[in-house]
Amino acid sequence: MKRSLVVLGLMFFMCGMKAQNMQVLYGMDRLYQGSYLNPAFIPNNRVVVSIPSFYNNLSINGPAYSDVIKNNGVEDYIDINSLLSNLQPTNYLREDMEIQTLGLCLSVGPVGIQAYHKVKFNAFIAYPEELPSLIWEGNTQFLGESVNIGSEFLLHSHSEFGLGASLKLSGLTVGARAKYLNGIGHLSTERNDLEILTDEGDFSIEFGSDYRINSSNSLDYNSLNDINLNFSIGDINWNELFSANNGLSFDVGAQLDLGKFELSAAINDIGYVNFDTDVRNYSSQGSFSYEGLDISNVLSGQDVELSGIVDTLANLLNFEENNEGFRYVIPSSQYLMIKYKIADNWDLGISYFHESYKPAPVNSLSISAGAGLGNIFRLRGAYTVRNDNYTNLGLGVSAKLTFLELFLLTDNVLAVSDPLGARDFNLLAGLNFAISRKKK
Amino acid sequence: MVIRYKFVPVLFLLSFTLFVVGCIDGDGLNDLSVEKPIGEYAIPLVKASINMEDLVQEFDEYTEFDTDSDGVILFKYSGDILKRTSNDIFNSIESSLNGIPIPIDSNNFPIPFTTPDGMEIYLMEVSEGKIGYFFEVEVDEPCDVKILFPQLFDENMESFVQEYTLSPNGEGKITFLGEINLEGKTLIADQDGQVNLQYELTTASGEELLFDDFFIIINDLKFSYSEGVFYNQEHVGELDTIEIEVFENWKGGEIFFENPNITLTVNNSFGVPTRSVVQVFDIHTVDGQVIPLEGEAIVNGIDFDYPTMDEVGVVKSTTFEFNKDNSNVQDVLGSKPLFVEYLVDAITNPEGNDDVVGFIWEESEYSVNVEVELPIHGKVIDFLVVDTFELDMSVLTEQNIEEAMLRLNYETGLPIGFELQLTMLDDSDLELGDVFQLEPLTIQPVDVDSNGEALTSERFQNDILLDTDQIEKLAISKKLILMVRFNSTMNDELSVKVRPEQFLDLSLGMIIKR
Repeated sequence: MKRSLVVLGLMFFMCGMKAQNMQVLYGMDRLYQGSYLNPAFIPNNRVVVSIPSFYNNLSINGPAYSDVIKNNGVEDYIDINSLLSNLQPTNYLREDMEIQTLGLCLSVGPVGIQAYHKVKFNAFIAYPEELPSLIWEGNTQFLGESVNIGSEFLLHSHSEFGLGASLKLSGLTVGARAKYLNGIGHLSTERNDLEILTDEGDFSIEFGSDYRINSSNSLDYNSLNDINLNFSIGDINWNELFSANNGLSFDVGAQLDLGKFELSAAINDIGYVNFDTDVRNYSSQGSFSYEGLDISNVLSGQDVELSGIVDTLANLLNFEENNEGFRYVIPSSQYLMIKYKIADNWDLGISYFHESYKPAPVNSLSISAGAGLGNIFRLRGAYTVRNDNYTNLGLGVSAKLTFLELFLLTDNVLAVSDPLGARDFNLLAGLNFAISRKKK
Repeated sequence: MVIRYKFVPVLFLLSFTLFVVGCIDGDGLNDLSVEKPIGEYAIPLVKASINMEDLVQEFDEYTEFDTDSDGVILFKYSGDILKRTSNDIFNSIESSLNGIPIPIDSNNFPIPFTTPDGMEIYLMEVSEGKIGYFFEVEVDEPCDVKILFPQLFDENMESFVQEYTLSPNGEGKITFLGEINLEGKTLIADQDGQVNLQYELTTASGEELLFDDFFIIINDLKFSYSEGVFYNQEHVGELDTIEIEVFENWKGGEIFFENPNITLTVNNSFGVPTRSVVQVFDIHTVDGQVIPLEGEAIVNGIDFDYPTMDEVGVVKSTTFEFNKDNSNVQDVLGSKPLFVEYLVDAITNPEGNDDVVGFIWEESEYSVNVEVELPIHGKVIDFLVVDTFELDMSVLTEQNIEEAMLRLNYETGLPIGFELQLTMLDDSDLELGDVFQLEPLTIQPVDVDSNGEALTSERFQNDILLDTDQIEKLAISKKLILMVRFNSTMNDELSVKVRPEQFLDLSLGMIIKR
């Protein structure tokens, strides 16, 4: 229980006010943070100042924490059997985090203007179920069978300066945002094919690889047993915030008010970052085999260096290093929503979200309902099917106390009761300073 | 300005930990125990691809590899090369002549041209040396003295003549001390085989006298060439041994070689008839027996070829092979020889024939070399070699290996197979049992035809199970006794031939459960 509280607490405090993938938030279009999902969304107040805040999203499709760490009544232990039994054909773990330093939105008549700065961090790892199975159950089960254990990973961080504008034309509001991106660090697989074949006759091991790793300010690889990963997002030195890794991205959106119905759509993060500083690319392509220590020389009376076997294994994948700059294309996302206004403060909505996040694109379909309780509270509930996860019951609450606007949102409130077993969990909480409410 | 978002790395660690749990050994989470399934891991251990040529080339430092005329591999063991040079012979002649005063008691004195150890010299080319002489006579008037060496020629082939006119001293005597430089001169004995020193002593009044005393002494004599009759003279060799490394680690069984031989090779540039005298030629076996090599050549000796008088500078080679037809070599080399011990002397002019004139020149030498050749054409019957080596397999404990299976794959073209067993010893040298309990690790020999020739190569696969008990014992073992038992195809029925191109390819893999 204590561990559950700690994890829940961590999730709570680390989740903040900005989100890129949050169905409940997209339905709360008058909250300033909704404008990050659709630049056509305009807050109810003419001036909104958002203070430093955090956002986090954690998504797992394979074993969850509670599938791996068990308790036998005396102590916690790692249950590998449970881990293996909860594997999917392809398992991924995704972590997104945003740190907003400052956000500002001004509305003058039909025009809205927005400016902000964020630091974003993304981590993603995808591995086939054969990889942990190979590690813990061994390769004997795969004798004579080529097994793909290639894993894809991404560590990415950039600083983002956004400047957006919206314009209301009768019932149609359109918005657009341009973002200057400055890369902090990057490590990703451009290609990640790695097959292993254990010969059923002599157990010789053959690797077939087509791997390419791009890194910037992050990786120094010498061999499989000599890898230095330097990706410390915890320390951000403002003096080094502006690197030569430049990029751009754009968001566009629209909202159409048809009386009882309201339509909205947005396309976000169409852009890239070019990485040019401390770039290292590691490529391995071809077949590499290990047939055991060659003792032919021993039989003929000569010496065999045992260190040779270590070198052979360590260099088996034979990574070649070069220093070619590369471009990281930001995964773009799209939102689409239809709302039906039942009454003044009541609406029903259905929304769709898609994100081109390889190799695990996200597709979410939500039905939601929103309600206003007086002039202070607004509530929104949502049921979301997110990829193959059908147990996402979301809830968002905002409270307006004079100029202070508090809010708490999640797409999966069920995770609160079982944070260790959660596979999708996001949380948005925070406050805005919002003044000068617009007249309806 | 540095901002530390302290929760950020914590979140990252949390997320990453979940992944780590999914793909990295539980040891990474130090505080938590790990419950995991028993994994079965197949790993290649060793491989080897070797043919007999490569194998025997590096057999050991004493064994040479060759092939016989049939292309069969043979092991060759050589003894040290025994050498005798002209210095050894000349020294004995020179020392027999040098420094001995010879009284000359007539005016035509034959100087003995034989050596005490049996050489009658007919011709001698002198590279250095001197003859000192002293004479004295009582006389009261001057005299003419003429010293002649009719058989001592200078480089123009003119005989040596020295003339003096000497006057008596106050005591009425003529005394004289003279010297003849022999360098570059040639002594050629007369038809009687003699070298004569002559002199003439004539007074002024014409009277011919004899010296009262006349001595000569030969000093620092060195030859560059010598001709003559070499009498029966024995030159002593040196005791030598040849190690037969094949049997160094023998513990049992037999090897029968079809055509082993011992070869005696003599290279000789002395122009002298010489014959071997075998003093010792014994084979010492691994079981302590000493068996002499027997054969007619041992008893009668072997005559070495030698250059004739017109072949000065030519080296003549004599090779004698002790084989199964002329000796008991097949028996003695089939009796697990550990080393061969031999001492071969040489005797000159063994027949004592006075008519045989020989020569020695300054670069003459003879060398004797003994080689033992074991062509690998034979039968190997339970030939067992044993060796012990130290090891530390405690890694087996650390890896929690519960069970293992060794898989040996091999393709062989060898008509000799072997069974390998390892016996484990603890740190008190107490036997813990065999590593391969059910059956030893076996490399089968291939089939052969009726001539002992290996037929096509064959592939084999052996799986050997090591249970928990054996692995536990192996983990505490400090030494292993390696026992390898060799057998040829149809071992005691047919001799097989081992050729350089015959090969063995093997790989050893292992499946472990942990």
